[in-house]
Amino acid sequence: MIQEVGNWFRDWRSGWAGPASLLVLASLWLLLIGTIFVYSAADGPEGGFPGAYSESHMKKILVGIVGLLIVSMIPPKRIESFSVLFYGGTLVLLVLLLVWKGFEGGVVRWIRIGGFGMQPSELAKISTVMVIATALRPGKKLQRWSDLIKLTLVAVIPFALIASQPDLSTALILVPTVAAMIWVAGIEWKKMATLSMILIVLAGMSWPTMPNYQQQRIISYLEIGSVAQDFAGGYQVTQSIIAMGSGGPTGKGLHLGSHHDLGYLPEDHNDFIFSVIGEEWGLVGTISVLIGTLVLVLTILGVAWSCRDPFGRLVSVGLAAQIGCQACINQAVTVGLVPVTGLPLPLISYGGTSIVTTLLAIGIVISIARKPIEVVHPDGLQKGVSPVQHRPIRARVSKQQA
Amino acid sequence: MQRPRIMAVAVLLILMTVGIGWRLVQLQAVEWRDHALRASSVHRSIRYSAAPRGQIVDAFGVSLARDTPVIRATFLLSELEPVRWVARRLAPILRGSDRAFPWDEMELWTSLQMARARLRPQFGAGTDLPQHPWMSRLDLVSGSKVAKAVDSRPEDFPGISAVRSGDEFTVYFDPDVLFAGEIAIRRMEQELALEPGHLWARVEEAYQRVQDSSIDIQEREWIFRRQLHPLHEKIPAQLVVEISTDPQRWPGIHLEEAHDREHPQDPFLGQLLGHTGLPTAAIVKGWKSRHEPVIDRLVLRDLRVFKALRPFAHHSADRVGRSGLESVLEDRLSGIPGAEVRILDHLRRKVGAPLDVAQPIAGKDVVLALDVELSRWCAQTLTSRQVELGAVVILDVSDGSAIGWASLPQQGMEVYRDRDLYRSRSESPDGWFHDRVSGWAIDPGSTFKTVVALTALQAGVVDSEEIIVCEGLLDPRRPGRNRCGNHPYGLELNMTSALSRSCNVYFYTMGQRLGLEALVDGAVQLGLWSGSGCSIASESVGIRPTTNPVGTAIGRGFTTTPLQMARVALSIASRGETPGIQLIAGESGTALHPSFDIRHYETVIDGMVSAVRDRGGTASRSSYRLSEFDLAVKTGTVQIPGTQSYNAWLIGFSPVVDPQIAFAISAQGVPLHGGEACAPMLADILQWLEQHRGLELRR
Repeated sequence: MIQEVGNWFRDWRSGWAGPASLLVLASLWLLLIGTIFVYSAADGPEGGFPGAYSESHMKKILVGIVGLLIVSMIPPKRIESFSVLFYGGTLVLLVLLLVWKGFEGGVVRWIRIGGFGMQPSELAKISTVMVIATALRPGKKLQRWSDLIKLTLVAVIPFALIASQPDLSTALILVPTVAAMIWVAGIEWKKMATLSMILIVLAGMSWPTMPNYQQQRIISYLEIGSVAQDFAGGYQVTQSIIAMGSGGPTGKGLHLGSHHDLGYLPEDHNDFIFSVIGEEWGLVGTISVLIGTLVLVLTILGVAWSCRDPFGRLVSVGLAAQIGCQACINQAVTVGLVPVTGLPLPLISYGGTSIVTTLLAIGIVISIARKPIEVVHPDGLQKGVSPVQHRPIRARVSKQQA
Repeated sequence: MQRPRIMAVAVLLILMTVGIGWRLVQLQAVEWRDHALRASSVHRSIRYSAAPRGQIVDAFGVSLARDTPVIRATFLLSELEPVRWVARRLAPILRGSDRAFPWDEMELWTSLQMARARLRPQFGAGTDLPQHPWMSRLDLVSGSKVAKAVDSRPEDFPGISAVRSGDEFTVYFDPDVLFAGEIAIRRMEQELALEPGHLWARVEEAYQRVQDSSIDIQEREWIFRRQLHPLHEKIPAQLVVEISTDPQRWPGIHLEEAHDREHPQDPFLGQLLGHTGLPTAAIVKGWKSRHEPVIDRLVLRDLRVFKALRPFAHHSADRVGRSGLESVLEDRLSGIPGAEVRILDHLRRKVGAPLDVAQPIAGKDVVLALDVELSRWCAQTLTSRQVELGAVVILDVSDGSAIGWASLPQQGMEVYRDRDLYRSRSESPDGWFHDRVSGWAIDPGSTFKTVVALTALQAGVVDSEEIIVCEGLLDPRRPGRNRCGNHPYGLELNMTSALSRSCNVYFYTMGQRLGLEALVDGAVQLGLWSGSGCSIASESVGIRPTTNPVGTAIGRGFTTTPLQMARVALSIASRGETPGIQLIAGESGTALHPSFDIRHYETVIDGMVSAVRDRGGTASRSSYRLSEFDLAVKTGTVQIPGTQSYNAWLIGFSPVVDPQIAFAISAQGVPLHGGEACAPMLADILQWLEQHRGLELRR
């Protein structure tokens, strides 16, 4: 094991040109913006930099970056071998949370040990992607409904556990993630459409079981134009739109966003941090965040594009869909396009577990990007990009590599 | 096959991003001016309503303490004036200018503050102030930047304008806009006829706390951006109308419905009732230790959290009981706060109806057993005889209700509004802050002989017929000590006559026979040196005797309160089982269960009756007018050392056979003995009771 780790470290210096560097740069850009605006939104300039929130935020970024570097060292094969264990571990944590909720009642989303807190639902998002990618590795075309059902069960279990906390918004992110993965894995159009219809019907049937505040968010979204916005969802979005719009093309300037500063914008350092960016940096700031996120997500998809191994490809697709959808949903909430969800903006919002797990996910993608999969090729090629593009390739690691 | 599908996912994500980007362009490029105006305008506000405190009334419903609604003015620092914002926004615009101007935010702010100080004498003069040049000869580049910023966002630079002259710019400020907050507050000082600077000093104090780096940054943020600081109570109606209808002239000033605590009988019963005030740091600390939230520290978005917390929440501007009954009964008197969610426009006027309202719930009323009219008469009786320090307490024998209660000197709420008065009275030896009925213990003098008599008879150290001859001193070998001058020498006295004539030698002898421990035990049975069990703040239990049973037997060397001596009289009147004292109607204090034989009570009562009816009794003089009444009394006199003044006492009950009232009167620092000072006052009180309350107290 130690020798293996040593090999990882020696190999780590290679493969950084190209997508890996672009991923790091895009992440750093978003992290920098996040740090600046967590400071502006939560701390304010009076106390000097860093304030309490921004200091905590930077510590978590540091932990995340260390995690990213460590994970990027690990070969994708090794990562894959841990998928099931990782998935099982996160399920255990989610079950423990539910048991704790049974004793304490209320909303329980965190596991706290001493001063350290962690949200298992964030870890479950990554573990679900990895285990589904592992399940789809044999190249199943998902022609049989039984295969499809088994696969969706793998996603439904963490979905149900997370939704029971309750944390429906985090659970719902699994839907586009898994959908993108099975789509890329080759599911038929008809099956995809059928699954979508079933999902819509189930969503409608689950309305009575939704907590009141979640129902109110949806109702407020539908009544967004009305004056009587007395529910948190409607008020928050209205204030977000005002803050965002008042920034104009170039913004009011850093620390000069009076609307969020005077307390009219709730959750301004996490869910609605995009509004703070819009108020203080204007359209320039928001578009730069959009572009930064798009670059990150498209780079991950590019890794998927060039990856030969099904596991690596599907993990990349899943993580790209997850990060991309979460970012789009958060931004769409702040501009009033979708109901309030409570999803943070990846790499920007204040929130430790989200930052760390997103960086870990990027670390996994970097690992995949750095190591074009070892394939057994008819011409004896051991490494590198195979010109064979359309046949499913089984990757076998040679004894020398092992 | 997978690559086209990956492409489809990418296209979908790009389309979503483009959709969001389009919406951002719409908000931030097309509609941004509308939103900028709305950002400085419509917003939701939650206004907190303090709950009215419960009333305190007497047994006949006469109000002793009640809340009256007032309008209170508060201020929010961040809204009060935009000086700091203007400096902060201009600093980055001016940075890099090639002129020697102060470009730093702090220096810009300081220069505005200096300009303010120069213009201050003109604030509140009632005339509009002209535009004032601030930065002149500003270079073209910087001046253009300022002009452009001000033109595009005038709401961010209130009162600022940049005027070009040739190749230079001059930046002006309009004092009426930039310093609108201070001008408004100084105008308020004039309207309220207050000393100039009286209200502005509170703003300065709040600013200083914001700049105090020893205070936590989160706390400073709160002080600047969210806390509504008290400005002035009881804003007159005309000013309320003016501020409400034209809030632009009064930026940062908020009006709140509040309650002022009024004591209609003030200063009467002032010490007993106590006072209310804003919570002290100790009180707030107590709340926090009991995990009771301070509601105005929470950033509320709606009333859900508020409704859940309000039964045990507080507001830092609530009035709380700080002394007396107001403090002891705080849990009962304090109500449950209310709040409403409302939409305000940019002029801070309400838009539409409140979105959600939680009505405040008033505190519970407290009914005292007191008869205020009787109590007033008791106080008048004391003052009409030039008594400046004294107490009267009258108890209903049937249930222990405290129907009469008077304490001199009287002190009302004025002491809490005048710092000099408060200081001088705090340092005075006259105990202004103590209620003399329950909180000021002194030597009871010969009134204690009733206790000694009961104890001695019960202990069997004397019987009712034993005769002791009083030659005027206890021990002839020590003629200077333990003397008796209350009656002619050589009298043969039994218990009844000894009580009637208040013979010291007789009771010295009882003291010697009983010993200190037995004396104290007997007195404790009658309620001395223990609390009444009523809700009385700062009740004194007095000091027990520790030496000299001889002196103790005549009521010297220890202290008791008039309330405790009234309880002794109540116990004698009840002939045994004694009801607890009721200060609050329906709530009894600690009952007494003394173990004295009823025969002994009758012997003591005979002595007390004889004091009124028989010649030589200490309260029998015709000028006292007590012999008309059917009552039993015991007088007491204690000379104040080093003076010719006395603490005069009288305790007793009436009528004798079926008593209705028990009483204790204490006139302190008077030139008269117990009977002389207190007996005529008692006659006045008994007469009043007959005339106004229909009691039959005459023989």
